Amino acid sequence: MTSRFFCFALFAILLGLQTTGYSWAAESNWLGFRGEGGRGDASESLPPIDFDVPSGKHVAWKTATTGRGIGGPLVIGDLVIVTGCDGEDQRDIHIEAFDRATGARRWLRSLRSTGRPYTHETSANASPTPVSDGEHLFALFSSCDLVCLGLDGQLRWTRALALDHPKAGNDISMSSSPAVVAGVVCVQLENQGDSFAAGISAETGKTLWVADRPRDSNWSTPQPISLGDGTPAFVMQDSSAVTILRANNGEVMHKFTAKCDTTSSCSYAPPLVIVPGDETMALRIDSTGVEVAWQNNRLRPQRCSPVIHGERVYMGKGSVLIAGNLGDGEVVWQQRLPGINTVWASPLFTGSGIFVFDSAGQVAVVKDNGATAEVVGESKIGESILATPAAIGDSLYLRTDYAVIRIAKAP
Amino acid sequence: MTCVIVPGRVVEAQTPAKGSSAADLTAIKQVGIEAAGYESATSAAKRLSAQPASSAGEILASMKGGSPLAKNWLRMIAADVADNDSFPKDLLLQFFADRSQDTEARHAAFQMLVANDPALKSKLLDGAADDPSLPVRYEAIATILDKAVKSKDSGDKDAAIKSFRLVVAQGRNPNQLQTAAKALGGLGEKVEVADELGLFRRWCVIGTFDNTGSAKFETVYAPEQVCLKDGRLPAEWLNAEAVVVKPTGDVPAATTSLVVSDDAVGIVNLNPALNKAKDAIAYCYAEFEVAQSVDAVARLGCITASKVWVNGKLAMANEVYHSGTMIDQYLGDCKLLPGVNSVLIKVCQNAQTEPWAQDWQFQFRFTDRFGGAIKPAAIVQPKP
Repeated sequence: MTSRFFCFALFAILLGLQTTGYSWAAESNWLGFRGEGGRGDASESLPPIDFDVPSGKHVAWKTATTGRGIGGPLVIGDLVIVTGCDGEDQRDIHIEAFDRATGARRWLRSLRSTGRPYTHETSANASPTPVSDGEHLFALFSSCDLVCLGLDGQLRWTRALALDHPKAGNDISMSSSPAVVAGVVCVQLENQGDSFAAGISAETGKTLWVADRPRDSNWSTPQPISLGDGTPAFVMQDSSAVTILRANNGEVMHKFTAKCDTTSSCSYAPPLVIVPGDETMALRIDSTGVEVAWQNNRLRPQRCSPVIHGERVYMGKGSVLIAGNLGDGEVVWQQRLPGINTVWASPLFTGSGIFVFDSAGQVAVVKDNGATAEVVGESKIGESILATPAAIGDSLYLRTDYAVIRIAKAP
Repeated sequence: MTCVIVPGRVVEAQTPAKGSSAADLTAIKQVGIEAAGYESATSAAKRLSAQPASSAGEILASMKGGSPLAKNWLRMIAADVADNDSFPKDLLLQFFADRSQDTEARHAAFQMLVANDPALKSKLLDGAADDPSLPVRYEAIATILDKAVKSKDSGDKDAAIKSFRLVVAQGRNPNQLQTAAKALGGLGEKVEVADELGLFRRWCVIGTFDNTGSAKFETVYAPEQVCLKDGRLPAEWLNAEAVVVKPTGDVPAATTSLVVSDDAVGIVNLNPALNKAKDAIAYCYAEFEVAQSVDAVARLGCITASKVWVNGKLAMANEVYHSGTMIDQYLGDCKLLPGVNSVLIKVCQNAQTEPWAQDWQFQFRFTDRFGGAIKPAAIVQPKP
C-alpha cells in the first residue's frame, strides 16, 4: 500500500466515522440479526427481484449446509457464515463459513450441546443468528452453548451457559440471538426456569454481569444502542417491560412498562428504538434522556421484526406488509402480498424493493411509492426458509433450512 | 506433581512443562462452569490451534475423562489443527477405528472425516450399529433405517423386516425405534414400542392436591412426605379409590385411581381420571422389581412441572409448564437395587386456559447409562 493511498484510506475512514458513525466493516458486512441496528436496511443493495432458485435463475451459488439452521447468515469480508444442527435430538451443533464468491466451504467447527437441544419441530437448536464484532464470531444455540471463534474458524473460547444455569431451557426453543457492543456479548436467555441475561467479555469469555429476567418464554433479541452520552447499552423487551441495561455492567438505566412482543425484536434507528408490542412503542434516546416518542396499536408485526429505512418503519404481518411513519407511528399503507402466507423471516429493505419471505419459499418484493405500495417482483426459493436473509451489494444471501444461497444478477 | 497408579506400584509422573502440549491440554481440561480456568485455557488454545495437523490425534485422545465443556474445547481445537495443513485422514481413520478411545472423541473424528469426504460416511458406519459411541451408533442406525425404507419401497419385504428388526434390537434412540416399530407394523410385524422402550404404562395415581397459582411445586404433600421418609408408599394407599389423605379446609380428599396407558408410546394421560383438574397436583406411583443393582437413568417426558423420586431419592425436578414435551425429555441419574424399587412422580398442572395448555400427561422409563431400556422383571404396584 502506498503512503498516499494509506492517507486517503485513513481520511475516508475517519470521515465515515465522523459523519455516519459507521465503520468500513459496518458498511460492507452483515454482522448480525437483521444487520446494522437490527433495521433490516440494505438500501444500497440492488439484488434481483425475479430470481428462481429451482431453475437457477440469478443463483450465483447454492451450497448444502451441515445440518439444519434457521438463524440468519453473516457476511464478513469474503465469508458467509451460518450455524446448523443435526444428529440425535439436534445435539450436534455447527458453525461453518463459505467462500462469498464461490460458495465453497472454507471451514467447519462442530461441538455437542451441553444444554437442552430440544425444540419444536418448526424451530431448531441452531435458531439464533450469530453475531460478529468484525474480528470475532459469536454463535449461540438454543442449548445455551455460546461459542467464540476467530474469522479463520479458530477457537477463542466456548461457554456452556446451561451448566452455569442448570434450569435454563425452553423445549419450544431458545431463539434470542446474541448481540455485541463495546467488547460485551449479550445473551438474553428468558425461560420458565433459570431466566437471565448476561454480559460476557468478548475477549476472555468471562461473565461480566448477570441480570435476572422474568421467568417466562421470550424469543426476542437484545439490541445494542448508544445512550445520549455515548454509553453503550442493550435494549431488552419482555411481555411486561422494555429495559435498557448498561452494556459493561448490566445496570438497569431505564425501564418502561409495556406489553411487548416476545417473538419479534426491537430495531434501532438513532435516536429511535422501535419496540413491537400490543402497542408498538418508539423510544427516543438523546442527550436529554430516554422518553416514549409515540405508541400505536395498529402498527404491529406478526412474528417478524420491524424494518426501518429513512422515515419509514415496515412491519410484516403474514400476508400483509404495513408501512408507518417513523416520526409518529401512523400507518401509511398496507399491502397484500401474493403467495405469502406464513412468515418467520423479517422483511428486508433493499434498493430493489422490500423483500418478504414466505416460510415455504415464495418471495414478494414491494416498492414503497409514498402514499401507496405496489408489488414489483415475485421470486421463488422453492424450499423452506425461516432465517432472515442478508443483502450486500448486488447480492442476497439466503439461509434456507438446509442450504446457503447467493442470489445475484447473472453477469 | 501427579501420581499415576499402575498395578503393583505407584509411579510419580512428571508435571507437564509449562507451555508444552501436555500442559496446554491439561489447561483445557480444567475449564469449568462460570468460565473457571479460562485465562489459562484461552492461551493454551491459541498455542494448540497453531500445531500441525498431525497433532489432531493427540488432542482428540486427550478428551478421555474430560467434562462435556472441555471436550467441546478440544474437539474444536482438533478441527483447528486439521485445517493447518494436509488433512490428517489416515490418522483420523485410525483413531475412529480404535473403540477404546473416548466415545465423543471418536464421534468428533467421524464428523471431521465425513466433512472432509462425505463418501466415507457409509464405510465408517458399516458395522457400527453396536458402536459404543452413542452418536456414532445413532448415525449407523439412521443409515440402516434408510436402507430398510429403500428395501420396503422396492418390495423386498424380508430385507426390510430384517433391517427394521435390527434397528429395534440395536437402536438406542426412541425416535428411531418408534419409526422402525411403526414400519414393522405396516409390514404385518407387531412390535410393542412402549414395551421395547421399557415405558411404564400402569400407575397408581393419587390426587388431586392444590396447586393454586402454580405455587405448590415445592409443597410437600403426604405421598411425597411418606416416600421421602420410607422410600415407599403404604400398600393401603394404592388400591383404586382409596382415600389417601384429607387436606385441611374444604378441599376434597385425594383418592387413588388406577391409570393404564394404552398409548403406543406409553403416554399416560391424567385428565380422564382427574376430570381435567386445573391448578392441581397428582402423584403417580409404581413399584417394580429388577434382578440386580444397576446405575440407571430415569427418563421423563412431561408437558408440565414435575419431580421424580426413585426409591425415595429425588432424581429430577423441572418447573416448566406447557413448553413442549417429548420422550426422554428430562434425565436423572439414579440407582436401582435388587428386588423391589419404587418410583414416584409429582405431576403439576397450572390454570392456563389456552387449548394447547390442557394436556396433563407424561412418559416414563429407565435406561442404563448407554440408553438401553431397562425392562423390570415384574411390576409389583399397581397390582396386575
